[in-house]
Amino acid sequence: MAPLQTSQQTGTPLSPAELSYLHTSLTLTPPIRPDSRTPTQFRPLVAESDILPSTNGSARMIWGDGGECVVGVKAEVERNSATSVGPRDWIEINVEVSGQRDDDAFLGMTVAESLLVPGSGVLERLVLGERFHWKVFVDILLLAPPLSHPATLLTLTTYLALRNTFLPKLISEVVEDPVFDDDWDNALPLYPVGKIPPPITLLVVNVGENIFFDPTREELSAGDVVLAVSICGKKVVGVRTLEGGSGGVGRAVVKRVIKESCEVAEEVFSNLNSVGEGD
Amino acid sequence: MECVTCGATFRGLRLCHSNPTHDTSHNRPSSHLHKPSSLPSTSHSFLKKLENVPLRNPLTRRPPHRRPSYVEHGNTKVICSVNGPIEPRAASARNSERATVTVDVCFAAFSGTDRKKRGKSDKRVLEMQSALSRTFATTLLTTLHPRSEVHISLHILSQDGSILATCVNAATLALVDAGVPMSDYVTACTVASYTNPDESGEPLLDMSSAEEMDLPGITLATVGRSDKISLLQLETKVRLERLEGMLAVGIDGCGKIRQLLDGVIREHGNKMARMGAL
Repeated sequence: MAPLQTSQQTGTPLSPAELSYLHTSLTLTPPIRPDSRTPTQFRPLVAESDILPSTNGSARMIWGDGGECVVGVKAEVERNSATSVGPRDWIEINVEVSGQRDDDAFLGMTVAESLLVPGSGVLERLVLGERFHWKVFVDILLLAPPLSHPATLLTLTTYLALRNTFLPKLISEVVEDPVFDDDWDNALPLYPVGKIPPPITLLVVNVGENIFFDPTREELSAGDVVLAVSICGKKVVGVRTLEGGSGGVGRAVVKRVIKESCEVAEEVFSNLNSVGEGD
Repeated sequence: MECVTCGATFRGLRLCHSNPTHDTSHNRPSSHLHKPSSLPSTSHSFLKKLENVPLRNPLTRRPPHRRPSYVEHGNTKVICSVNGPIEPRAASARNSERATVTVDVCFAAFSGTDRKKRGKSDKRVLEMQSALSRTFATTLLTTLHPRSEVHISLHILSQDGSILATCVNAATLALVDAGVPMSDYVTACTVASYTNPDESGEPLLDMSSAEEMDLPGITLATVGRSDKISLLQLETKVRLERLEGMLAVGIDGCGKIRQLLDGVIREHGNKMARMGAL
């Protein structure tokens, strides 16, 4: 058996003829996806939140193609240091991929960059008086890499964990050393309802005039351009190309990608927010 | 659940194949380290326009090495997946007589009370890996797959005592699911030596991390229904006359866990058979 494949770069399973067939069926109007999904439809997945008692917030997500990801968020009190780069390193993100020796720096970067959206107000909530602050560690454990690109899996799980992260309530004065409320029921959410939520990254693949969300590995290999779109609340905060594929992307398509991403993300957010409320 | 001879009880124990969200018959641990038990773990699967998706069960679509097992002993939570028998990834794992068993143990950085990253070369991790691979190398029918490797990867998501024992049980469950031939279940539990104020000296079954800190204890694993011990670990001083009683309680505990594992596996097997996956 071949070793676990982490992304579509490790070779596509399709022959040139199959690839061309797939490309043609994806360029049709309306397009036909191999698994008969609509262009904006996601594959089924299982998500649970608040699974680990020793963390401040945690989540687990399992994808149908075998991808599994666990995220644990832990917060520690840290003294403000004069030499530090500032509040930017108050959130630390680690990605660990099972069975791989080195951390995949690129994956961590994708999540970290999108997490520190300027003006989201997270860093202000981490301040504890004059001399201390919370240091938040976000540890992402990719137990089984999915067959398609893992970026969406990572960010959706991280989003879920962060939405369920609670920090103990501060009861001391600003100038004192921090003292916290013992009652966990009084803990404050890191991302309160109504404030700017943590961002997510969605993958969009463009084939001809059509765009598809949540592409499978086969669709990624047949696509012209793969775009990673970061969305925070109702706004797109970042777009980047992941793979060149067989051609560039037009201006009009990018505009459409951004417009449709917002609509899809809204639905994704509302679905993710209902995790833990239902069942 | 109670131990046969001494009435000692396990903490909330939860075993399942592949996907804990599908398992409803579990006991939640009654006390949490950090959070009150009023925050149960919940699950929800979301799916847009369900009727349009050609639904095949996600479990059946997973290749064998991607079906992890999940075991909880109280607040100790372990996920284990088995890959194999595969072609050895390293030349050192190639043996022309039998399959080699390699184990990867990974402590998640958020698993303890304080955040701590454990490297791959951590002494405790290495010791656990070698203990596990030696235990399973004797129980698996390794001669059936010469020149191949069985890779067991264990992820410890939350630590609250009895970690090695939980790892053994999770690995057994995953190996059975992966279809690796083995002679019988290997099940493990921990026993602590404890002196009551009234000097009865009854051992405690299934240590939590607080108990592990204060009391001397053993981890032991037995193979199947025989009372044969295949793994025994004693890291602290124990009075010799206590050891006998501790072993007896431990063997009974292992037998009890074997019954539980067997129940879970049969239930899962029936479910898979009904879905037509077998």
